[in-house]
Amino acid sequence: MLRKTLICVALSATLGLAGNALAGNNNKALVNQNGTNNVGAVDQTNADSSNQSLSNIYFNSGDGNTIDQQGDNNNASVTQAGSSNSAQIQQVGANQGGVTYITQNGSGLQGYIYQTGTGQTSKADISQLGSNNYGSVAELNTSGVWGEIDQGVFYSPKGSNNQAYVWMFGKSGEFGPNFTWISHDNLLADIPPFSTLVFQEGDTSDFAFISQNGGSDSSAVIYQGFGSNNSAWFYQSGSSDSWGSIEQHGQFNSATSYQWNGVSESHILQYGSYEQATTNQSGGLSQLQENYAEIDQGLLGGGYGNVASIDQVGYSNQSTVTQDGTFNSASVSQNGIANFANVTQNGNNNLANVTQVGFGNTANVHQ
Amino acid sequence: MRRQARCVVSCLVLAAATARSADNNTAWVAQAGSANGVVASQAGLAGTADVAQWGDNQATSAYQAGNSDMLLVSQAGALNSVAVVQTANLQSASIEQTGSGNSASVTQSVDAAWADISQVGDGNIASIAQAPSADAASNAANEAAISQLGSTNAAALAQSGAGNAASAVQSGDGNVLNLVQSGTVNVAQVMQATSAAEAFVIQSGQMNQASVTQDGAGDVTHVQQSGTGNQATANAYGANDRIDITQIGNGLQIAVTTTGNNTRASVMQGR
Repeated sequence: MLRKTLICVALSATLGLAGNALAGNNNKALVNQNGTNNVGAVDQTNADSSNQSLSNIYFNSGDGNTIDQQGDNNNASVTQAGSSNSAQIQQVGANQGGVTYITQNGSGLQGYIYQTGTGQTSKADISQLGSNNYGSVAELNTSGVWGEIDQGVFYSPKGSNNQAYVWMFGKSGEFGPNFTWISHDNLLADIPPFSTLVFQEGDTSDFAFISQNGGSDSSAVIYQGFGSNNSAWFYQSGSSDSWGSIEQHGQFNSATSYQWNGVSESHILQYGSYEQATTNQSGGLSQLQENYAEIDQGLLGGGYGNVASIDQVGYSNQSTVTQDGTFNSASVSQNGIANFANVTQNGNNNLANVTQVGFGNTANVHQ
Repeated sequence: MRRQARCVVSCLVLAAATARSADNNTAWVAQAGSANGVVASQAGLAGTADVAQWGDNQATSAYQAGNSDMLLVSQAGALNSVAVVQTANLQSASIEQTGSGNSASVTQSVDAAWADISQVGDGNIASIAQAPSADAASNAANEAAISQLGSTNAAALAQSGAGNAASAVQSGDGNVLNLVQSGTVNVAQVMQATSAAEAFVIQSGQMNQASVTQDGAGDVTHVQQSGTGNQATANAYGANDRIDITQIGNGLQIAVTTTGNNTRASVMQGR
């Protein structure tokens, strides 16, 4: 009881500090909480610029993670408006079902969420409106976590030149799925690129989703290092020159890429068996050209029962499917002019299916 | 039915064969439009490549190097082409082309191969060569068949080795056939319907058989055989047909029948 009272006092002082910072610039908010069932919130929405919130919220540090995994439910949120703001939330220790938010509106923003522990179903969410923003979520030694970064999503004007990074390193022996969701929206076609990196190393059933809408030269990278039944998606639409890759290790994984913008590249690399890879470069009828899709399955020793599918519409598109192993299947569909499909299958009992409609298309199947 | 029979053979061969990489693969390719191309290559045994193309100026090139490989190509349109090279035993190639100005060629270089080219349209060219490559131990028991329906088509068949069979059916005016066999116990059968068709059959070796039947006016048959025990049969049902048969060797047989007016048959046997 005494501890909760002290916490409430500390929280009240924190909120008071935040409240005092509403009217000015160059403010700093520092929140340190040590205990369980804490709530930390910093609101600097009325400030103009150069505010910093450092919400170093330490849940249950030093009390022993085993005890703290049961019933602990910590939350933290930081809300900022203005430019050149940065927010950092760091959570160490067990975090059962905790929800952590950073909400920022402006430009030149930086948001960091760092979680480590044995948290189940904890959520880290960074929402940024504006341009030149940077969001990073790192969830280490966890399972069943949710990492989400939304940059310029569902708002107008859209942002530009935003970067989002999600790093997930699963805890060995845990089986809860990790979930990543990253969304960007860009309003203009020629503004600088998005860059998104998702790094997951969970045991099983990890999910990563990247959505990049608008802009050119966007890049999306999803890496799922271990485990099985993982799934990864990236969706890119905009002017052109998007680049995306998915790399998956393990088995029973699925990868899906959508690029509806032209002059884009999609790469899917899968190392195990019973994998599924799908690339669709058939949307956005006005910009369908010079796309490149690559799917490599069964790398390093061959796979079994892998399925690859590529769908391209337009002209001067290229697709390459390489499968090593047995009982794999590859399907390529191209509709347009001067498209090129290349399917190479090394192993036994494989199936290649290439369909092309249009003029000057070439299909090369090597088995 | 024939494909099914061959499939059974392939399966038996497959079961008996030692497993190796790139076996039992299947490639399906479909193209619609014009000026499209397919390159298919299969290295293992019992592979299947099935290509369908709709439109003009389409091209397919296929290479198969495993026993019991099967190739199926279907093209509909004009000025299309197919080139097939098969280098192992028990392989089969079937090509169907509908349209004019198309070309198809099949080259098979080992034993027990089967090739079939069917063309419907005018001005088409078909060729099948079943001859041993430089490193092939033999070339025997091959079957080749060409069917052309239309006018001014050209067909060429070449076989070497033993126990090979070649057949050609051409229906239309102005078609030309060249058939060459070397070796023993080879069989050549030619059927040409309508007018102004011309067939050239050349056989060298032992115990070969050649049969040419022409139904139309102004058709021409040329048969040349060298070796012992060869047989030649020519039937011409029409006016102004001409038959020339030359045999060199021993134990030879010739049978010639003409039923029209102004026909001419010339037969020469010698040693």
